[in-house]
Amino acid sequence: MATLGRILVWLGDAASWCGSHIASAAAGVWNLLSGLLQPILSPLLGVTNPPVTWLADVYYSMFDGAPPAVGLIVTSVLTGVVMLIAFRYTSNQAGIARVKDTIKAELLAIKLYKDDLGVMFRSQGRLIGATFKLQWYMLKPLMIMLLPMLLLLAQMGSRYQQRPLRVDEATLVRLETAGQDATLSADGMIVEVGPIAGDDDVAWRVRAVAVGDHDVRVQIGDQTVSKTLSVGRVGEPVSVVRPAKRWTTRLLHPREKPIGESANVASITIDYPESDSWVYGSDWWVLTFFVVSMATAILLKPVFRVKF
Amino acid sequence: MNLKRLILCVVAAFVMATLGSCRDQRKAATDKKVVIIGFDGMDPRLCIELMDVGRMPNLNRMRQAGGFKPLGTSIPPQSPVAWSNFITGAGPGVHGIFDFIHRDPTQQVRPYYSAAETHESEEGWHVGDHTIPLTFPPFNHNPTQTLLRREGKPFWDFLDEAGIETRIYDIPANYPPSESKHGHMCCLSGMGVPDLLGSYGTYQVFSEGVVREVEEGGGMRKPLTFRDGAADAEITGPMNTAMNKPRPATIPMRIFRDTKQDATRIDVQDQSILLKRGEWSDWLQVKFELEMPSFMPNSHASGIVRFYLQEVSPTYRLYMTPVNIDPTDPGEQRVSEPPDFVATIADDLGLFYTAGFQEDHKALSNEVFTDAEYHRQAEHVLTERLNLLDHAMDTYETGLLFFYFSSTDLQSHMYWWRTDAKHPTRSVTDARRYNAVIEKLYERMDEVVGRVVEEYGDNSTILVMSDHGFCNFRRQFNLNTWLRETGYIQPRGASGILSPSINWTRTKAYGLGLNGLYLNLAGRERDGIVTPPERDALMDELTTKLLAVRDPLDNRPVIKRVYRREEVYQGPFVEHAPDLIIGYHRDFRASWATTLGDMADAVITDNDSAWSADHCIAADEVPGVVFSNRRIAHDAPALIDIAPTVLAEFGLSVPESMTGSNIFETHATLAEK
Repeated sequence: MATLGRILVWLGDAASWCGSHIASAAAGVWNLLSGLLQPILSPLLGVTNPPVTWLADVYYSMFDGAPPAVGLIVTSVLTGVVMLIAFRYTSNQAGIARVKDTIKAELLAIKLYKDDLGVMFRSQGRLIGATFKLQWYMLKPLMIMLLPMLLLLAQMGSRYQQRPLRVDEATLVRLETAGQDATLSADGMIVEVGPIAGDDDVAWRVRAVAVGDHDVRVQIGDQTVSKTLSVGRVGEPVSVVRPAKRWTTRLLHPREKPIGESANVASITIDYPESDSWVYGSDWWVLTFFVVSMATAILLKPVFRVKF
Repeated sequence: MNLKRLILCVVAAFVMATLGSCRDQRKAATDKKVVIIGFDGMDPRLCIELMDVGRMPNLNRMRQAGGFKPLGTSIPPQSPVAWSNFITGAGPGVHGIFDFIHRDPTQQVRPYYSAAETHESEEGWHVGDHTIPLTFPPFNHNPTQTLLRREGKPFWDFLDEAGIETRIYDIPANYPPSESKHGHMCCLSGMGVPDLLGSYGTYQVFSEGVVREVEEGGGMRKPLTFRDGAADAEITGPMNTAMNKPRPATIPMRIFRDTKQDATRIDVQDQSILLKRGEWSDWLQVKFELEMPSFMPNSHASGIVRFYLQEVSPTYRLYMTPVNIDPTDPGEQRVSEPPDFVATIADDLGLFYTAGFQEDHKALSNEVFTDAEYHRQAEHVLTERLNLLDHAMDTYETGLLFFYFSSTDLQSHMYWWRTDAKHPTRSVTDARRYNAVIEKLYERMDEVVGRVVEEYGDNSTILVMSDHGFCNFRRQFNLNTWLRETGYIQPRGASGILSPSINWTRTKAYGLGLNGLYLNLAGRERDGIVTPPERDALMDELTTKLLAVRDPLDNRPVIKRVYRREEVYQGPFVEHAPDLIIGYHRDFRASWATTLGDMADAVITDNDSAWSADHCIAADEVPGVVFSNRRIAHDAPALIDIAPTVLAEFGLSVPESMTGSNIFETHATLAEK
């Protein structure tokens, strides 16, 4: 047991070492990639976000008055259908059919010739190859659907992940800036404490006093930057972050126009409370979305004659 | 195939119908409602005083209808003992709890908390810096676990067996909670539940005024050094017992202060809190990472804390509550039965105190809190508990509902002062002012009773009860010092019974806990010298001498009664009891030093603590109360009578293990039965 323990500790240490190096290498690759994508995606999202948000608002207006779960489930079902159709027309259906036939054939071969090691190994090799090929066929539709799906998820996140503040509820407003003095003002809320600077941002504690979408104004030097504060409207979307130029923030927080670069502000964030429903609250909505959309796609696969 | 499906459908329909009918029967069996509100330490004298002047109208209505009696408490009248009497319907000889503190005589006097004991895992797989218990075959190592030491069958087990729905909130002396074998009992444990550090409440104070980290009874003080307005600190968490050299898990915290705004910012685990001086934060969830061997994932323990900014300048002081077990993620800590009951409550109510001692009396005793600050913290606790009561009432339909309030006890310990004599820590005016807090608290508790009566009064039995009363605690008796001075503890230079200075081969008796006196008995204590034939004579001698002790200050007697265990206890666990149980007069109590076997220079000294009232004295001096919306026929009801009363209310017979009787019946009626 002691020797086994030593071996496992050694293996564990080695795995941690590899893991941390792989993680830092992956972070480096991501930073590089993100930097390369920044000049393309940042302006692109600046253009796409407003119409997508408008479309999402129009679409969700159909569910005004209904419980949030209704909109989530209907959207998930529709997404399942759209994904299915998009998959059919963007994927190599004939290729997928061939690969699936190959997989079936090799599985049958493994079952029939289980006494023949040579056949077994060859079939298993072909199975692995077929699986990779199937993944390859999936890649194109996946890449095509990735951006629309991310745009959709960002819109859904703004509706289901957090909820607007309630009247008399307090939260923090954070300003990511390069250490300049800032003042905060707004209707519909009172500033209780702040600004107090942390290591990376400046924060205020505010308390909501009136229902509505209020403009939070931050004065930095001679510039004024504003941000929407949503209070008391159950089921309404919230914009947690008003982004500046980072494309990742623009992608995840599409509801507000990006802050102009001259303001020297990276973002303004309001710490909205997480929604607390098991169907659509905090991260549950993602689970509901994937389960319902995937179930829809699987159920309707024969109807649309799609192979995947 | 179709036939198979048909048969399956028929069987399923039959099972559903059977289940449905069982459910209906159970519902019929539990239409009865019994609601018990337990106010820890509610005193009958003060109740009568306040009822007489119309300040407790709801309880007074019960009194006028014959539903009020003082309630006989336990011997000794300590909360774990008293609530165990309530739970089992029997005395300490049956449930085995005789004091807050017990001792293991096989190790001479190793003290331990009587109601629960943690057994550290002593075996496991040694892997590098860790020892991992392998709890599966063929290893079957015992993991570290906390066991409930209270014996006897709780009354709710009988209700559970009978299919009667039972909801119990914050019950003392039931940690870890006993299991519900039939699934009809839900219980949230109260007094006895530790914080995440495994203690009964360890606050942490971060302050510039502290030179180095100091641990004091009930808390820690940690130094802070600000550079450019920011300081780094660490929140101490649970001990990582998987390590060969256990050390506590910690969470880094960064503190920023703004002297101009008299405010602070606390950044911890991607969360920020902004506080002005004098403000409390909401609950904050923190997750401690417990390092495991590198090939295993680390484990986690979730806690909740609240911060209170005491001062920003000139000396920064930030108080943090004990790290309570996170009710939404209690992990392996069982604080409720079923284990997820606590999480379902938190889903409705949000985060709340889960530790057994919620009012931070240690912070007041150690002068971390002022009186006003303690009052405010105690108010938070009460507000949370009132919300919990709302939740309990909203979700209660039939059967038994028990709800416990600690406020009447832990506020009384600190604020009760019903005399003009000098208070240990307060001016006369402040002592009066804070004593009035208790009276106001009683009025609020009366309003709680009013709400319960309004909600359930017409069609239920309501019992309002307490485990003991209260009195001032002005003078403390150093039992072990007295034993040393009278030659029962040797040598004369001994400094405590846990100290190596004691000579057990010449020591005949020792004190431990709040009321216990043990003989150093041969054949029982590891180094015992008193032989069984000497025992009776020695106990007589000690009793006579103890009853003769007078306070040199005013010549008042100190001890009212000395109980022999054989006279006051019956049951299978009597042998674990102290040989003598000391019942002090009002105003007196065992000294703080005595509880853990220490000694002071003088036998009787002033109590100099903010903990200025108590109840661990002679049982007849501090009875509790029992109120009901029904006439109480019993001449002298006691705590052990409540459980049989509850069973009788649900039409169940009183089991032999219970020695109490139904308070709604007279002795004559019971005798006829």
